[in-house]
Amino acid sequence: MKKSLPLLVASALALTGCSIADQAPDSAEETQPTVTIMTHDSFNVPDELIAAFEDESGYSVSTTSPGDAVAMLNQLILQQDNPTVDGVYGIDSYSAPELLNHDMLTPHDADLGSAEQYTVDADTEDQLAPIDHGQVCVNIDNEWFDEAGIAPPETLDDLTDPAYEGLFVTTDPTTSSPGLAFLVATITDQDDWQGYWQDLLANGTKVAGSWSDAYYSDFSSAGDGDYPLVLSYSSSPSAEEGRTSSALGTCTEQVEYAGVVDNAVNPDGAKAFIEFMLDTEFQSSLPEEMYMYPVNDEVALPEAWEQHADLAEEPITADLTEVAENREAWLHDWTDLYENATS
Amino acid sequence: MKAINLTNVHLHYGTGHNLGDAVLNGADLQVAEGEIVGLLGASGAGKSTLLRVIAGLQQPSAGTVIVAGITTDDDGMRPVPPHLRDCTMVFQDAQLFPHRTVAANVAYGLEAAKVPRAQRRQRVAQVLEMVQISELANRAVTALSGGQAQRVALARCLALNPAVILFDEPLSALDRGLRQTLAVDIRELLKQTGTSAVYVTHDADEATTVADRIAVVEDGKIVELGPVGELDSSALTESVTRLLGGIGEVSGRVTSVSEQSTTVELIDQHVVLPGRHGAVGDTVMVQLRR
Amino acid sequence: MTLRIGWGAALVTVITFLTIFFAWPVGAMLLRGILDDAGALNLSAFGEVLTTTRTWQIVGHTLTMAVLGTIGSVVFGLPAAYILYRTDFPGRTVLRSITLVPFVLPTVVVGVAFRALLGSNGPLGFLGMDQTTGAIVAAMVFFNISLIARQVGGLWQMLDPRTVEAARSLGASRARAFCTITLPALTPAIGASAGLVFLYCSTAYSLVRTLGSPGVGTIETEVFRQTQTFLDLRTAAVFSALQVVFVLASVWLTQRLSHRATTALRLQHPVRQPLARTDWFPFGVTMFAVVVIILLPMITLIERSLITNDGYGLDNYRLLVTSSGSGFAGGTTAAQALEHSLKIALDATIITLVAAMLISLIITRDANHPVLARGQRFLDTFIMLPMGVSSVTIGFGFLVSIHAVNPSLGQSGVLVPLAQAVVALPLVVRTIIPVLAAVDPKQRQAAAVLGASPTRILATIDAPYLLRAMGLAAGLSFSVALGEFGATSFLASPDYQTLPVYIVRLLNRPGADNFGMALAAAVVLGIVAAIALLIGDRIRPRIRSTR
Repeated sequence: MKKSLPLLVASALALTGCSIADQAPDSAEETQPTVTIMTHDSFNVPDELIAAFEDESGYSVSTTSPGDAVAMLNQLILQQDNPTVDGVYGIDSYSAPELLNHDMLTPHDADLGSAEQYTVDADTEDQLAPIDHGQVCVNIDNEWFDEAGIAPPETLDDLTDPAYEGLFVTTDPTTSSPGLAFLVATITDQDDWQGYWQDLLANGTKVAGSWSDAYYSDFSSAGDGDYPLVLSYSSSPSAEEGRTSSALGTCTEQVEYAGVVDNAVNPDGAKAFIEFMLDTEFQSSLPEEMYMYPVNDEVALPEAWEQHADLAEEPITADLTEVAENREAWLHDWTDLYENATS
Repeated sequence: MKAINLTNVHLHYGTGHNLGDAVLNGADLQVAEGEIVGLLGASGAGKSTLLRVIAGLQQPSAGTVIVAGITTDDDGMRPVPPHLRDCTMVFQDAQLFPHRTVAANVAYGLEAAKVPRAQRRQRVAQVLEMVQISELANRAVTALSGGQAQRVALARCLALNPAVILFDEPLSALDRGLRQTLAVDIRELLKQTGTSAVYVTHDADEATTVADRIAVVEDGKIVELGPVGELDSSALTESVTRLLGGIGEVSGRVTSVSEQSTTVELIDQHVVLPGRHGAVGDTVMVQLRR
Repeated sequence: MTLRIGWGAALVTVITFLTIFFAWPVGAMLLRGILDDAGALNLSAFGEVLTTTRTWQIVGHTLTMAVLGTIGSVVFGLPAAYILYRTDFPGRTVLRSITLVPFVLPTVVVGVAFRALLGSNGPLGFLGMDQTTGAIVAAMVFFNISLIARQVGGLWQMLDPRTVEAARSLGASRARAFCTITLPALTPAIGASAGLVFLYCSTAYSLVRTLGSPGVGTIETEVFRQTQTFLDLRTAAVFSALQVVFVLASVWLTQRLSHRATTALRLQHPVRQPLARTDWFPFGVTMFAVVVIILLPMITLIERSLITNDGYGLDNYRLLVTSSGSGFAGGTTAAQALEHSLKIALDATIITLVAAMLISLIITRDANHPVLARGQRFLDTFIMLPMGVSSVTIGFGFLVSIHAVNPSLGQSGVLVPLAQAVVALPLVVRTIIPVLAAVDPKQRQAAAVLGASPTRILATIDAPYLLRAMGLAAGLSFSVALGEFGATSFLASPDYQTLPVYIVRLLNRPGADNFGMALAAAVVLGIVAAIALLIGDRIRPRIRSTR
């Protein structure tokens, strides 16, 4: 009885083994060196592919996912002095320049092939390997426009047209990455972006907190909402069997990159993983697993994608260096503008 | 050997320069083996505190406390904790353990003393018999009446056969008839077992029924009054007179007078006397009788 | 002596736990906000941020919503406490169980349910409450009714009915007896639970994001924005400090309220009276709360989880096991995620219980020295801080502290149950303390004079009370850990997702199947958490000594 307290503590601590034991690597894998990759939170790969990579390369893969691209960028900056990961995947176009500015990656040495066309201009040392790409577009509820007998909008300018008043729901650029892409697209496309946004909000545009909110609650097609126009991706219609389509004049390009972290414990492992991601098998899994388009031209898209997931031929393309310099200022300006317009 | 020996015990709340009010202020008390001392005193006079000091539930600021031959508290000495003192206590509200049955409550101290199971059973049965509640052994204590609860509380103490039992107004919540019966039983049991006791109460009847000797706690000191049989009412102070329920004389101030009656203010209450006595403002002596 | 060592060990364990898994991570983040690059103290951000009108709009908005949410929860929770804990009628247990469910539902899912309910095409669309402050307040009430009802009801059923009867016999009307006798007796419980609810409301994140227009937002959303979007740790530190002020204020208020009437009440058998005709008012309010505020959103959620491409069906639930919904193959299935969640929650529960038990025992000890008493009060306040610190601060904090020092520990997944335990701790400690405080100190003294050593007193007097609270505490910590999303999403490895994280990931993909699966998974999560809570609630070991 006298030792009851410490004993209790000890036995309780001993008991807490269930999930931890579960998560520990298998003893067989422990003999293999580990490669740790930071990914965005939509990262998804079939187990067989990872297993094949582990067999072939001799590395066991471990991943961490702190959030979206911006969260990853922030975490990499916070850990710059002593990185806890070897490689990173999922840095998008808008975060890429800032990552390059912080100079925390080493060259990946990968053969890019057709992916070459997606590299960042400012990346002179091959630090970022393009892995996949996609477009952020306004999605249209086809049935709604058919029934209403109105032609759906095609460009950003159309969205401020009174004919489309109260039909569009977008997402908050300060908290959602498609929202940020859309804001950057408007800044690139419009001479006076603040004037454009004032018109947009005056035209009854709703700003939702997150993509899922806008898509599943406010959008009239996927959700039960009142808005037949929603900000989403060019790939989204592939999941909706023809009920939706993209307004191609509103699309803006986003590329996702991978890189090898400076001072990493296992840079070779990270390089191997980047090679693996550029490989045909991984590239073909991209559409179904992560809703992104492969950067490898030779990879065929799934049938639903061929039919519904059209890409704009000439998407709105922002100057990424300018984005890196002004992102914060734009977001602050946008917040002021939005809060003034709604309060 | 004395069962209890308190010498010059002081206790005040607060520490350092910020000394609070003194509760005990040089209390002395001697209790002989097998002796029962009744302790009277007004509310807040320090009766209960004195018991807690003897039991070890509170440490005196100064003074010497010897319980059952062991010096438990002395200036600069590490106090003996309550569970190691050969003395138990019956609380005002019994403080039975609600999650234990009657028998398990009585067995509690024996378990702590690591008495073997068989002996424990025997002792519990024996003690329950002594306090005349054998039939309640397996009852939940939440279902007991006030008198029954105090019998269990007493049995719980007796089971350990301690040198000293302390009583902290054990019967104050019971009605007068029951109080008298229990008081008699308690005295009988204490005498039968030869246990020493300090019996705190504010009921003079109860004190004189149970105790061999009466003392009064006043201003943190203990004033000896002497053996019950030899109590001299004229020696009692005013407060004790009041406490003792009306033996002896007290002085009071006349507050109103008429032909039929006189109202006299005693310490904090008024009594109305038949007839006319003195004038308003006079100090008079009133003989109180039961 | 051994006991002193025991307490010393307990204290060291608790302090070590709180320091490593809470103070260090959070402190590391705050330090980055108040130190400049050279490591010197720089508080200029406080001046800048605190002089901005927008800051005070945010504070005002946070305060308004939290106060309204708290008032709403008390207004509905108090009658519910009476009806569900003090009266008896057929179906009472069912009603009581229903009120417990919202508490464990992930906020994201509740957001979806409320929007489905209040949206222009939803059953309550005509109210026009969609995406208004009213909707957020309603959702806060939805979450917190049970908290008030449970804590207040727990005390209420222990009150001696004779006190009220005495007041009535002295001429007090029903209402007067309630206001002058019952209400003052309940004040500690109302104060304590309202303080908790206020904290929950003032730090709500997902709810505000989902249900409100992203206007000025609240302190919590601002901490997220400044940290996640701008990595502006200086500004984030100011808002975090404001949150800490909120926590301290509410803890102070709670303690003031509960101290005023802390009477050691003996645990007695709960008193229940049959539901009477005169109870129509509280009964009506309770039924409204249960049906409209609690059941309707949950039914809407279940209904939507059953929608398939062709009418209603169990397709979404089937997909949870097979995981081959369109556009979603491989990776973790919902069933696997649930299994992970259960295992992690079990770990978190054990950690929480041990820590909470030690902390509660330390806080409720009779302190015989002013320094110790002050230490107890400090611990009592400090333990509430995890509730008021944003999960983004905790999540990022883990990464810059523990993770940075020991990456392999960070990646092993060990941190997930620990972080969940930190989140569940305040609530669980608050559940155990009232029970321990209800032990009359004289009981311990009675045991001591009967020869029980302090360790024996702990085992024979405190332990039975502690065990009574343990079932409920276990149920609570298990379900809180099960539903925790914020900190978990930062720390959980993608290979070992929990169900709430999985649900949010499903919600972030297009396609009716994914949406349906997310809702179905949310329903499953709610049911599992509710079962855990109900089992915990039932476990009340009856301790009978062996003679």
